[in-house]
Amino acid sequence: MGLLHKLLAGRQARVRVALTPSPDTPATATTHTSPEGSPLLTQRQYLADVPYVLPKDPLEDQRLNYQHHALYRTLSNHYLAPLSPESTRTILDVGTGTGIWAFEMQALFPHALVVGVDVSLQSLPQPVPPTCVFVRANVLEGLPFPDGQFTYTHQRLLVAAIPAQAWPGVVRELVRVTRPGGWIELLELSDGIQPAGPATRRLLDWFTSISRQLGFEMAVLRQLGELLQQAGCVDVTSHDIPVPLGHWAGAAGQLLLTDVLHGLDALKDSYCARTNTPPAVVDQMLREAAKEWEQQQARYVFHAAYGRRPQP
Amino acid sequence: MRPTDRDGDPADPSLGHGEGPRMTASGTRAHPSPGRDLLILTQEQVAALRTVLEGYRASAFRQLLPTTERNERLRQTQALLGWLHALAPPPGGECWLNLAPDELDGLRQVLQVVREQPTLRDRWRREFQLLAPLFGWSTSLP
Repeated sequence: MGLLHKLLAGRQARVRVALTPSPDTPATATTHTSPEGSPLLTQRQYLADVPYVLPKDPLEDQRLNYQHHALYRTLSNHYLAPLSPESTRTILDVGTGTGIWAFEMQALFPHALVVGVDVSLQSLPQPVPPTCVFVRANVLEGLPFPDGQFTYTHQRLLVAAIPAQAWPGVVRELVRVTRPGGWIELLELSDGIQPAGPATRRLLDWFTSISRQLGFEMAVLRQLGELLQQAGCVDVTSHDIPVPLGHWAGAAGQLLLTDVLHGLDALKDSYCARTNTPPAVVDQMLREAAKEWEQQQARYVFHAAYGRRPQP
Repeated sequence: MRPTDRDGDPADPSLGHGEGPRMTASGTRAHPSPGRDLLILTQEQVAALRTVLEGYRASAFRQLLPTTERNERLRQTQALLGWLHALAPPPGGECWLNLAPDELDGLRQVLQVVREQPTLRDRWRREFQLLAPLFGWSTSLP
């Protein structure tokens, strides 16, 4: 734990390390129906006091793990930055969620200290495996680490947690905690499904327009590379990664389909309430869009970028 | 043999990846050793290899479906890129990669895949000319 104490030096006041089940308290609950339309007697739970529009409950944790495996099957790796084992000593995972990525990275880099950060630690497996360290913190309020502590900083799929106007500051914060010469990597989904038939366009337009009203602008996610450059990074590389979506694409496609349907379904209730849209209308849009994805062999485009904090 | 799913990926993604580095590079810790292949690279060749491997990976992501072969090549590419970025040959100087035979085979396979695709081959014609002496290719590309 010596290195951890060094990492946290001077910032203890805002930090909670996950050694016991988190007392994070879900804020609200709503009734839930499955993406396929059948009612589930499940209460969805949301975090209070943070602008995170997705639920935080076991069903959502399961979705995040599907997402992880869908991405792995497409990327064939858990990261894209050109890491070498000898120089990768401290890894930070921002928005660690269920910790699945952090645990995988610890297995890949057994000599590295892997630290996961999230606004809530309730999604971690209990008891928390001792191979990684988890810290409760909100990147929107600044990370509780001194400058230049990590050789690799990773953040992915926080589109539902970071309002558009906060992105430049968040990326600067990621760069700040990364050691000079170390890598910062971002990966986010987009509002792009290719090819997009009329039902898919209708569905995406509906979700993205409401997201925009809430301050979550999908367009910013197409500029991850630019955000890294604006934050001072060098050697920046960007990728658009189309991930197969649907049963047509085997295991990877099925995993992402489950992820997307459950993710959109999780947003549905709160979005319907804001727009007075009957949930059945959205369910119908989802079903029609999913049919198109199978017929047209659709792929969901993810955006990724990585760059290096320059040496002084 | 590891269990695989229908995409050909290991059922447990963490299996088989935790053994630590097999490939070594100058500027890190290793010296050429028996049973391994030494690739001596100029600064320009390091840059050319990076460009081709990064480009190959970007094109592989755009493939319609993952396949076992593609995924294995992507894993090899990821490892190679890590080592190539760690290399820092001095201007006008050289550095080296010390590869196990299967790692060198993997690199050759990735490069061969790219060379066999006319669009990619043309895009990186200059890079392939720089790399030709390293891999014994004719400088007139196929």
